[in-house]
Amino acid sequence: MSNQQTMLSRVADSLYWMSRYLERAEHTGRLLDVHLNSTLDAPKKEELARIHRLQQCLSVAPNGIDTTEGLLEHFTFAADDTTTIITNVTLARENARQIREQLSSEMWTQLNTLYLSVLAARSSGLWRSAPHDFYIMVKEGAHLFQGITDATMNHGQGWHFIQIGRYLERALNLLNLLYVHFQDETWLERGDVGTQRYFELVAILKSVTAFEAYCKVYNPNLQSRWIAEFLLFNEAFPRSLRFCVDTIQASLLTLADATQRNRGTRLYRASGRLQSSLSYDEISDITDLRAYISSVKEQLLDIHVMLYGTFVNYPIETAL
Amino acid sequence: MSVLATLLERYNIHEYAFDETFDIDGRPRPQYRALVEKLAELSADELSYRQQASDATFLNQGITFTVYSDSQGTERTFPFDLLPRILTGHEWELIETGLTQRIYALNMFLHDIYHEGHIFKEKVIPYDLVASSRHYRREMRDVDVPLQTYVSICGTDLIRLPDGEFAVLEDNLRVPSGVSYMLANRQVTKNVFPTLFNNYGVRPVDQYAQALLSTLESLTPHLENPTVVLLTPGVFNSAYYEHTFLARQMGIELVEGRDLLVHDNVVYMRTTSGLKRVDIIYRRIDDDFLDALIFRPDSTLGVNGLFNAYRSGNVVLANAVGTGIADDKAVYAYVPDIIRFYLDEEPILQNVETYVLNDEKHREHVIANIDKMVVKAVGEAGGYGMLIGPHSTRQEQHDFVERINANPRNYIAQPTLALSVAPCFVDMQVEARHIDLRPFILSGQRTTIVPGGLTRVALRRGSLVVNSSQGGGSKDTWVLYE
Repeated sequence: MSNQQTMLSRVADSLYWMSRYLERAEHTGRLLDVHLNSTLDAPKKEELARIHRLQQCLSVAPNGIDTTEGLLEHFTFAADDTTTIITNVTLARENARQIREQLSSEMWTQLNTLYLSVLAARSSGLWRSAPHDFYIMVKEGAHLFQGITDATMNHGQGWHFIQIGRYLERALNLLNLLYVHFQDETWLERGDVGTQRYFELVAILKSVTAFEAYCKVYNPNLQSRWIAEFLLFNEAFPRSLRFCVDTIQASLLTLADATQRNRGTRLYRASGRLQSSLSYDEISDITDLRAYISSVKEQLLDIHVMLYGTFVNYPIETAL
Repeated sequence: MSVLATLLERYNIHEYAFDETFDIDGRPRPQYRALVEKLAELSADELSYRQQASDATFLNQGITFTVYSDSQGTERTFPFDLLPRILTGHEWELIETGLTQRIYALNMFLHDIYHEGHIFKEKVIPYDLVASSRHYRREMRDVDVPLQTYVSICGTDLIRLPDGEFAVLEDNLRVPSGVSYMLANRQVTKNVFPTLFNNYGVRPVDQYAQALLSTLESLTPHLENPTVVLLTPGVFNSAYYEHTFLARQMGIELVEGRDLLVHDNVVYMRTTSGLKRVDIIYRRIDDDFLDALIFRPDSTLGVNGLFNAYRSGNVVLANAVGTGIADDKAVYAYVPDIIRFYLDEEPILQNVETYVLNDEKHREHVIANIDKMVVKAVGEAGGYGMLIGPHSTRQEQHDFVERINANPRNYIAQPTLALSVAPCFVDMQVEARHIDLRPFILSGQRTTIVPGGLTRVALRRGSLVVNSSQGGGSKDTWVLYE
């Protein structure tokens, strides 16, 4: 029946944002956990600088927070900030609730459970007494949701919107992280990096769970340049930029077939161009890393806008 | 009997009301014999265990409704009583023919009042009574609806009087709900009493969604594969669960107003593949909220321009706009006359005696006897805006008299009726509770009534109010082949 291929734009929109919000919650949770861990190793006098850097990674201007505890509390529970765990888990659940009949019941149950656990951790004080356990719970909750989604939902249109949401958000978060940490010429440095820089590089990798994966490819020899290469261009690591863009492109192509969209439109030209440049670019070609990151980020944001223009809020004249 | 010494120990045969299960002498009626024997085998603990299992099913599946007055935890399950209510094939036949006759006449009535108005010229019903109804839609004058079928989905409330006769308590012709509970109750009861169910010979109800879809599709006979959608007010509506359930069962899209748009008097839904034309809308939104350009301007639930597309014949709405007039409780009083007028037949199902308070004599009588009356606002549903005389305080009675005098057109009154009773499992005992019955009638090219309906139960002892919003529950309804 033709009905089975029909998907309301509103439903696609909710699935996409549900996925983005949950990815963002997981990212914030991981950054906080890594920060908490490295606070133990790093010199006390560095603390404020590191707090500010974390805020930059989340695209938030310094807002008077000057202790790690204040930082954790804010980015976990502040309801008025769009980057916090509670805001993103709540928004993911709200989006899911509007389209509950489109999700498998296992997916809904998992998302609802995660939401309730975050609320419970606030009232029980778990996050304060055992913050590491709490952030692991958030990350695992998000992973479990992803696994349940892949295992219980039809891999049809809806699933592809979930994929695009997740990987677009993941790519943008990664680019922000690199942009903040690879200032000036530091990323070109070679040889022994010194203890402090070493910890910072470990933290970058751990912020995207890449430490072990990186070591498998480059040995535990931490070099900024190799880290940049790994996180931007590795084709097998599921949090690298290239992997994200490959996944987005694959889902977009499936959607083009499912919705009978012309692959020659601007959306497909833009995503195709980005995908091929990532598969041919080499780290040695890049002279200005930050300019490169900004340009990719720009292209991803364009893809988001064009995705909307193609599937969700297209002008009706074009669709009649 | 030893049986009665256990589970049925506290069961009393009701003094005034008709008992569905036992006759005057306390003997089970023939169709209930096997159920009563089954109860004799079960202990309270076993029954309680099965009750808990069925309650858990409802909760886990999220079969809930929303209570508007309750700001906390607004999602609740609808209490379910696991003892089925049983109707014989003979009883059902009467109900079926009676309801078919009634819906047929009501559709003719709706066509007439929005067109020539023969019924006014013959002075069967006063024009003023119809035109003054809050649900009368002037905009529907001379609008032709497909097959002249205004009401495609109807949920009529039937009660059983003390003499055992069925009577119509009210016709719900706008957006009746509850059918998902009829279907869910059946699923659960089958699990609770599989053998009993199997031996009884119960007619199935599971074909309802398919019948609904066929009925809707039959409204556009000229279209090959019409696109049908279900229009919901959204996740905050009390019956949202039912909307998602029916849409899924029928395999159609569940849309909100914001998913639809009207261009050149044609309705489209916005999909990822572009705009898709919509032919039939099963709307679960009241007239008032359908189109802000025509009806309530503050409505954000509907679709601007929908009414013009409808008037142009480019989209079908089920039910049609303006059907509420026929379930205005003052018009209800005239339904027997309406049946005689259009069909030249005597009504098969009786009305409940009703006083129209616009009439001065009726009004005086009702005010003098208000402590014995049930007074209802004509435009309300769901048990809101009513006074139950015997269960009210003097102050409440006094307030209602003032309201009646201020706006007599807005109220009707009925004598307090003893609804029939059936056994329910309450507090580890089986006790008698008042019940009613809401069958669901579908009409398109033909009229279909799935055998059964929602039997609603007033779970509080002595209560006569069965509405889900007022502490009622429900049970499965078995219609037997024989």
